[in-house]
Amino acid sequence: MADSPAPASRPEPDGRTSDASLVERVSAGERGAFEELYDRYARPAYSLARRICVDPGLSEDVVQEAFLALWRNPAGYDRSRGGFGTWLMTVVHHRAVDAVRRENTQRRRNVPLTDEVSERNLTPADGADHAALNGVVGAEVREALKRLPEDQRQVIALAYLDGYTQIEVAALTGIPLGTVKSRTFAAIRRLRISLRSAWAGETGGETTGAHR
Amino acid sequence: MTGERRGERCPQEELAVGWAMHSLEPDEEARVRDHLPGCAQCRETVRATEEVTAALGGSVRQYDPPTGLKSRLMAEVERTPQERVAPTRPAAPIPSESVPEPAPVRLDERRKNGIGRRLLAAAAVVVALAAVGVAGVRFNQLDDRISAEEQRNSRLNKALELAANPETNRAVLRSPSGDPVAIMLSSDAEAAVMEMKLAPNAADQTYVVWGKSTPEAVPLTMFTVQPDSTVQFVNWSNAAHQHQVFAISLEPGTTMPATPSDVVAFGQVGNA
Repeated sequence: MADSPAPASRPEPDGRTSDASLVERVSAGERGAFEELYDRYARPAYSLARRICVDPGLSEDVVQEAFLALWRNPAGYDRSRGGFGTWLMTVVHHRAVDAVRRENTQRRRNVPLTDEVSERNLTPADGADHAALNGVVGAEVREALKRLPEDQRQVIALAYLDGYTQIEVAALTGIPLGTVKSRTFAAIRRLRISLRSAWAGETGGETTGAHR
Repeated sequence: MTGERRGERCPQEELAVGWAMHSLEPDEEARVRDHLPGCAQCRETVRATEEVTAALGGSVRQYDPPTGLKSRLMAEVERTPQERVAPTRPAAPIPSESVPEPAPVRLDERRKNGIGRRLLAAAAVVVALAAVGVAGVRFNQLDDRISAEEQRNSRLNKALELAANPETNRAVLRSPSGDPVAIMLSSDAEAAVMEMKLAPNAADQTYVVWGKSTPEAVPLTMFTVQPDSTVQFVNWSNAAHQHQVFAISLEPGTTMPATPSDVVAFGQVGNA
């Protein structure tokens, strides 16, 4: 595999190699490209895993497994379906939720979602300051969440960040399951509209990383 | 999903959102997995939902990864061969309509762990709820009911222990229309029914749990439902625990009949 010719890197306007190009090079077995992707995304990936799993050791396992899955099968990321950041964060979320359900460990309880997001340290780590997963996006997400009705924020927090299934959310809140489903749907739709207009304003329609 | 789409919405769209958030039960996950290859609209819903949730996920409090993680990962990379099978994605769906098709969603990598996962018992949630006192919930009772509540919490704690046992089987039991009605927790020594939507029985009625892994349904145990009850421990045996499919029926009288009359819910153990 080492003799496979690496695809030419396609720099983005800011001179960086695009995530998608790096993934292509990972397909050719290039460790350097893999390391570069790790450097770009390890921090947000680990932070999401920590939020869901709470336990640092378990979170580390989740992140390692997510990146190893990328190494084993780079074609698991399909660029036509969206940004690499979105894909990676989705994989990390999925694995973190599986891990926490499997381990049945303590999960963070229902911290109000906007408080939690505003706690965020907005100083991007060197090398990890790419795409959606840094600075300005935290503010956008915070704004978008503020505009959600409280009951919609609650179901999103319990399902996405606490890793409960919708049935568990219904049992936890005493809200009928059908309402949990419709509130989740409505919340995602509203967030989508808010964030998309914010992203379009920010980039003039061009999107990068997790935005795609 | 953003509201500007013309034409009919797919009725599975809400499920597609739940799928993208990994918040469905195994049976619903399976339903969406079967549905997605044939529905461009739901695939787009999944994609759009993942964009939103990735942004949410990227906005939580940030932690630096442990310093040793990268070197451990790179060492693991050296031991891990890459898969050389070129197109590892599922075969592209054949669209019935002639719209430009996005590539299929990644069903292979993302879901293979999810299918086998066990349902975390709702008992844990309810106990946490009682303890933490999240607003707007069912345990916020009046003072004169504290003693009844304590009893119930003690039952819930016991249910939590049962739920936390890795040997415990869990099954979501649904009504014929698909609504979750109860969660069955079964170990070789004890079992509990977490009620979600079981109506209180009349004095001359009994709920019966049936094992349906055998050609003929077997009556296993019975229980009653009070207006405020949430979990019932039931008489159980190792033989009862062997069943992977359970049903609940509401029966006249106070004994178990040989065959079920009015089945109100059924479901399969969720750790397939």
